[in-house]
Amino acid sequence: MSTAGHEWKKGSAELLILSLLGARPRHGYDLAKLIESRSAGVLSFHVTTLYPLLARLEEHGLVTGKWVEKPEQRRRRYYSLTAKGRKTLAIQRTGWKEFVLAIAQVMEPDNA
Amino acid sequence: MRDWKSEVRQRLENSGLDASSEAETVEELAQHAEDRYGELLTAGEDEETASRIVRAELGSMEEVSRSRVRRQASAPPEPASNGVWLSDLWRDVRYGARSMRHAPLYTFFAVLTLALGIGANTTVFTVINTLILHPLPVADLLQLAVIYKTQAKTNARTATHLPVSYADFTEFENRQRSFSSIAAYLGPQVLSLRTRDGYARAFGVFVSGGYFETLGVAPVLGRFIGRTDVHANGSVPVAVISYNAWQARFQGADPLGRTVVLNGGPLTIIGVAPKNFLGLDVFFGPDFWIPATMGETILPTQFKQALTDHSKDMFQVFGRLRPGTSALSAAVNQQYGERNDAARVSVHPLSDELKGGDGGAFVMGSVVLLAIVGLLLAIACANVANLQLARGASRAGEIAVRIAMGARPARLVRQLLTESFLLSLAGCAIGSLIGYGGCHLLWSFLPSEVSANLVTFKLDPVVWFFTVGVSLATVFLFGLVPALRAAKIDVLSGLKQSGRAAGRTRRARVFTQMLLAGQVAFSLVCLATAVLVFRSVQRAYNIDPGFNAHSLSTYYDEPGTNRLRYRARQGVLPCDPRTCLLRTWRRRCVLGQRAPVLE
Repeated sequence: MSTAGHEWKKGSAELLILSLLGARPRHGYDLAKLIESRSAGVLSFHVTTLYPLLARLEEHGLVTGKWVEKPEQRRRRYYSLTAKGRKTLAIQRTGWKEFVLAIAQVMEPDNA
Repeated sequence: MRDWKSEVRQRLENSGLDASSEAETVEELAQHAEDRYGELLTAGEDEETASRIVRAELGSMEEVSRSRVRRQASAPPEPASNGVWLSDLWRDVRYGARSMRHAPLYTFFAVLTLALGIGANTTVFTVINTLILHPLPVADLLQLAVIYKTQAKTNARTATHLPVSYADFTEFENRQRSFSSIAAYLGPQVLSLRTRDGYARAFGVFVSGGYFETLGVAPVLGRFIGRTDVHANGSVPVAVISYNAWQARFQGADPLGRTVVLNGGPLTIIGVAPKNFLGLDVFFGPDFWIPATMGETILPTQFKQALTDHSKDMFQVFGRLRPGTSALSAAVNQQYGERNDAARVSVHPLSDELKGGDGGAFVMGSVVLLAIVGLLLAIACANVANLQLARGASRAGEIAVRIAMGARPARLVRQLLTESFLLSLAGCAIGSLIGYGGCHLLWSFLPSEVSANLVTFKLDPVVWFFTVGVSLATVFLFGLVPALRAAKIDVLSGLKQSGRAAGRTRRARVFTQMLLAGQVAFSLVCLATAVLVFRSVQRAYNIDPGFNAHSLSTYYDEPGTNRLRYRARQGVLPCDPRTCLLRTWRRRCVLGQRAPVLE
């Protein structure tokens, strides 16, 4: 990952996780793979960053993790959004869009 | 395949996580590492490179440990499974079945012990259900009352309950206003029924016209005896046959219009009584119901002027109270009127009389019996609980591993209770069979020649509910405490010792001793009760009859069965029965017959 990617990730990691969990519950490896594939390898989360972040989100009551056993599969710990997490996601999404729009406007060549 | 769990566990050493959280973290991160390793291999990396990359990505895990410790401190541990509840239960059941299969001796003795306890309870409850809870298949039993004649100037408690004469009954029937209908009957009388091969013994009840109407029962076939059938001596020679007699004598063929000859008197069958209907007796019923006005034809000596003579008190009277009225003896006495013998009447609810009178002696006896088999079940449960505790100690290692893997105590308790439930279920199934067999065993002690007249026990839904309820109760009686104890096992000592001493804390030992003490105490109570009953029966046999019974014999026989001649041939009787009576009189041998010899 580039330095820029690393810096952006620090500020947006929480939003990324919440967004991916907004659709449906996922396990840790699934989250890491999705972030990497959707960002075309620009963003990547490893064990040392992903799981502390998930633990922090759990601690703040935004996500909850539960062990799920499915037939013919080993059990896995799935994370899903709590009600508080959904509210936070909605707020952060709006804030992020406003932020990106503001940055884009500032960066317009005419405005620069 | 690499052992990523060991790799992760090594990195989490001294993390400060509790055993359960650490086990969960190891499992979750090892899965991640394994997936990542697989992904790298698929992408074309060799094993060594893939392994190196994954190790590098795992890092030191200090941050992971810190975050998990913080989460552990801020929130209670999450359940090990979100569990689709049913799938979890199914898993528990399969696990329980496997563990039972692995300990066949333990399973055998536990199931057998429970089955005996449940079976004894089912047997006794079946009898109580048949004789006390559902005694008569009649409409609105609580509205039925029996009317006895009592001697004047005696109070209700001390009064002797006497039957009523038919003449008094008919006068009272016309005068009374408290009952919507009343009826009289003379209990089962031994009669000789003519058959193709000779004679057979039968029992007949002589009834007034309102008998079936008052009871509120409907016939299976034909009609019942009504008021028009009972008006003049010998005028309507009809009879109602019992369901069992219909099946036995006519093999289910249409009996209506067929003639039966009882004591030489021909009677036309007009109806079939419902199955399990025994009249007003919970235990013994007749083969035929006959109009009281046919009494003089069938039992001439006994019924001589029985319908007109006020002094012939031989009929039992009962009635159905009008809605809103209660069994008030005072009001009924007014309607009964003054008699020459200054007799009075007393009214008692039929339901109380069926339970053994005012004292409910029959109910008391049943409750005592149920309490005794309840104690037996308690002993069985204590026994199985002890077995469970011993087994729990031997499974300490397995339970410790499961706790270390993240199993919560509640989950373990549920698993162990499921195993207890399976034991109980097997005990319930076998106990039901034992209960059913027990009922047959009890009934087998009764004389077979009157089996068609006896009540048949009902294994109805009430009995099944009772059996299943008792079985479920046993799960908690014998399973809960051992399960709670097992779930509290110390993981470290469990893993290290993995044997007999694990989990046997002082409290556990005290509990085991309490169970043993309880078993001994309950067994003593049962033993003492058994000895008392045995001694009572022994004393009953030794009651002095008031005469020398040593050289006396009693023989019963049925007319037409030739059993007396058979016994004479076998040398049991010294001679032909016709001459035996006279000869044995001299030898102080009493020959008794339950039915009169006819023709």
